[in-house]
Amino acid sequence: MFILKLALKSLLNRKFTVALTIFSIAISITLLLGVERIRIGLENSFTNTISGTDLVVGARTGDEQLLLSTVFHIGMASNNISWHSYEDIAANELIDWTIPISMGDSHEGFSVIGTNDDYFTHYQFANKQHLQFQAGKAFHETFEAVLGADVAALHEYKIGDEIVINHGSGEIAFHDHADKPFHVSGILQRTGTPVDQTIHVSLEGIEAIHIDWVDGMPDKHMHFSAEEVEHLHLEPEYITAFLVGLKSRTDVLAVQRLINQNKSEPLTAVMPGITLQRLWNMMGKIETALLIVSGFVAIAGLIGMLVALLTGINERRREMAILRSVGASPLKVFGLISSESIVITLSGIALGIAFVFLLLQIVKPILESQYGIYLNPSGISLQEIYIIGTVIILGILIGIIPGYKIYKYSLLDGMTVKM
Amino acid sequence: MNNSIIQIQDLQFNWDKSKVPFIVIPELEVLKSEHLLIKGDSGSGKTTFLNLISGVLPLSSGEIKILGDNLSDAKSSKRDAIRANHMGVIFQMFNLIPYLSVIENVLIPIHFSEVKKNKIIGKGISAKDEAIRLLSELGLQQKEIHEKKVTELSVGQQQRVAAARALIGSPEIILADEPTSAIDENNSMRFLDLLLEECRKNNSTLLYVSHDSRIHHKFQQSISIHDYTENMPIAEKTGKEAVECSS
Repeated sequence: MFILKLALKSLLNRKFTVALTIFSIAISITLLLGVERIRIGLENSFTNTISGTDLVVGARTGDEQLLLSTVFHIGMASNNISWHSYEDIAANELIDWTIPISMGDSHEGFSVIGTNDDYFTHYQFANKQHLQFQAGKAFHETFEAVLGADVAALHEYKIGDEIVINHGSGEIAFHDHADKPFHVSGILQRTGTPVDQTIHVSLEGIEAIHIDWVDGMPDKHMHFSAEEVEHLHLEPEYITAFLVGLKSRTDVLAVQRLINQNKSEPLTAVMPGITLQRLWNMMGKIETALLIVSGFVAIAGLIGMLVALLTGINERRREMAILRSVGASPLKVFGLISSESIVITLSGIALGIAFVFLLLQIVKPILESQYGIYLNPSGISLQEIYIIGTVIILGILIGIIPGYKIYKYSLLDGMTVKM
Repeated sequence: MNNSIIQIQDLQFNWDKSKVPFIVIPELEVLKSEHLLIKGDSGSGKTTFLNLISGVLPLSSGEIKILGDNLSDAKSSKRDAIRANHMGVIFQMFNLIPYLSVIENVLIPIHFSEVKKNKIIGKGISAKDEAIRLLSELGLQQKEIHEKKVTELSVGQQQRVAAARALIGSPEIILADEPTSAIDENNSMRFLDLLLEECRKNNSTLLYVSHDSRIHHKFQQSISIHDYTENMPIAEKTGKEAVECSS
């Protein structure tokens, strides 16, 4: 006990160096744990880009491709689904709700999707959060559009503004639908998902702007004005994909098989969570790299501690001689120096953990609203316990080095220091 | 024999198993309350001799008995315990731990020895009061000095604190390694007198290393340590007979 008291007093005597050392270990811990938290947050946010949806259905294609095109608007669906097949499947009694999605148009590089009211009722992201409007409301007219937060922010669109949709995707589209502009009816709140970069219009709207088109080109002979179109029957012939929510999640495999074996046309149904997880794992190397970098930072912090302890060691040989003279065994002298490094390591870790939680409280709202990264703010995960445990063990092992040196010196010096 | 505190027989010590012994002492006995002066040129091994007596260094051959316990057979932990319980040590300088106060420095031995602690409890006073008493007897009676950082003291004051630390718990043996070499002459004489006085009060045996022959008359016994050559015994008794004790 006296040895521990001595260690504390000796540390207090060197407040400044000790504080710096503790601080550098704290920074390492903050980085390690912070990176881990953000990594898990990223993974959770990514795998929950879409949530509450049991199946994503499209024309026969690869799982990842279907998900990338439907949820992230990356790449194009290779084929369409006929409206009849969609209606057939949607009528299945195991199915609670469906959201039809029609893609292929864009506005200033943002994807335009055609859908219906169910999108705003049933679409969920993150921890089963529903879409919210920051302004306006869902579309009710054929030529009304609901904008994602990024679309609205980038072009400073307000409710009632007019936008023109281009045919095809990408920044440069060859044809536009300038004759049939849309009006902004609502702007969604930021989600941190691809929804923010999407413009939503009704299926009728998509149908209306293409009604006088043939083979992906405006027809040379036929033309309907926007007013005329609104009076036409605008039921779509095809959609690109649809999302399915089941009454009971336990039926998901049965319904998936049913859709995959659909007779009228070849379809693919994927479970978004599993496919997203698979996509994330493909990017796993990035997270490993992050972890390695922060691991090196932790090692640098511990080496800093070793340097701080070793530089003071010569002055302390006299101190050890005094302790030896009053009967302290070399082992106790070793214990004194080692317990100092243990105290430094533990304080550094405690401070680092405090930093992490403080920092998380500060960045949490920013990450959530701006980047859609949802961090788990409380509780320590098993992975984090491993990290903390490893640093403690490394800290103690490194602390043994100066302790061992002092031990050797005190055997050699005895009560007299030859310096 | 009951009065014998330190008994040395055929002591030999050499560094690193070299063939040539560094210290040879055929025979030496130090009695209770005896004050022994250890003389010798610098580098002659006086300090090494103290390290042997205190059990910090192991013997190469021969034996040293402290209060009947044979150091040569004892494990290092046993030797550490003997030193903690029965000895007090004063160095030339750097006696004090810089981050402890004066009182805390004096009290260090109490934390390493139940024996010393119990001796004070036996007197019916607290360890702190005993520390204050010793400091006062050694001329540091001002209360504000007791709580001072030791780095604020003069060298002379520091050596008195060291003496108080050596004396606390009334150990049977006090080892002093040229404790006055860093103090001016007047003060060094006063320091020696105070130390001798306190040892007398405690009935402590004092082993005092010095190269100063002028203090010779203050000790009952003295030995000289020379460079060892094959024909010359390393420690020879000079001065008065060992039997002559203080009363």
